[in-house]
Amino acid sequence: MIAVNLDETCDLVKRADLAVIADAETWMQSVIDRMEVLA
Amino acid sequence: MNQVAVLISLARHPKSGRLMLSPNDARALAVAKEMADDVRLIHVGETAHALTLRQYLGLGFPSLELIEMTDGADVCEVLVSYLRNDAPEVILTGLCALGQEDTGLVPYVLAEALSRPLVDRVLSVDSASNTAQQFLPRGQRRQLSLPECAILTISDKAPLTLEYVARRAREGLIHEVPSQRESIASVWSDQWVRESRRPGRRRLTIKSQAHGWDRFTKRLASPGGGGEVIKNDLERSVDRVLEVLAEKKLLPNAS
Repeated sequence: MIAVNLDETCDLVKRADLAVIADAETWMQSVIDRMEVLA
Repeated sequence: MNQVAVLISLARHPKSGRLMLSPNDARALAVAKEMADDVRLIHVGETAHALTLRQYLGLGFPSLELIEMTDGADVCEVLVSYLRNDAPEVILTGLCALGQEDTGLVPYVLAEALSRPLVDRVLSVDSASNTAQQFLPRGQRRQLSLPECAILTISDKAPLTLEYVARRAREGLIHEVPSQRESIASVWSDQWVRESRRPGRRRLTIKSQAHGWDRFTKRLASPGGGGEVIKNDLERSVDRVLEVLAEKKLLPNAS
């Protein structure tokens, strides 16, 4: 389980296997960018 | 059939633990009502419970016999001594008392002590042909012809057909009978471990001090397995996530 959230005290962040503290929209865009580069 | 008696007990409500009418015994009363107009109701217990016992009278019976229980006496000993002199032809009981730690052995001990045959799990009795329908598992039923004197336990699958009327419960009579004991030591098996009766009640459900909301928040606050948290590092977080996804073979170009 991967959680992306700005609030680091959020319950999902505590329970996730990997948590990223960031704005989900901008973070997701950078993931997409990276994947396009890899492809 | 001339004389029919039903042995009644008081059940405990499974949640509140209050004394109440036992559905098993109400089933026995329904069968008895079909067999004879004049049914004797016999209860061994405390006079303090008379008000609860009146619930049985409300099912359509004019009176019941309450044998006062002395401390330390066994219900079976009291019943045997009471029924020895003045035994009805047919004695009905519920399948098992619904208090706490009930064994359902009373009818068997009585049958042994009074040397009577016992028919268990009876669903209904046909007085005309003097046969009983016995419950067997998987929808099977068995017709048995009844002996003249018998003890019947009524199945917990028998229907509850009697209606409760508050007026009848109020107007019914309770005859109090002093108890006598008769030793039935010959019936007891040596292998039985006998414990004295424990009055009062214990709660069946474990009472939790915490409310539901407390348990919910506590569960949420518990650590979820110590997952990795990446903060303020966009590049590294993206790398790590892609790594994890590749590990799980969730990336199209990684496989």
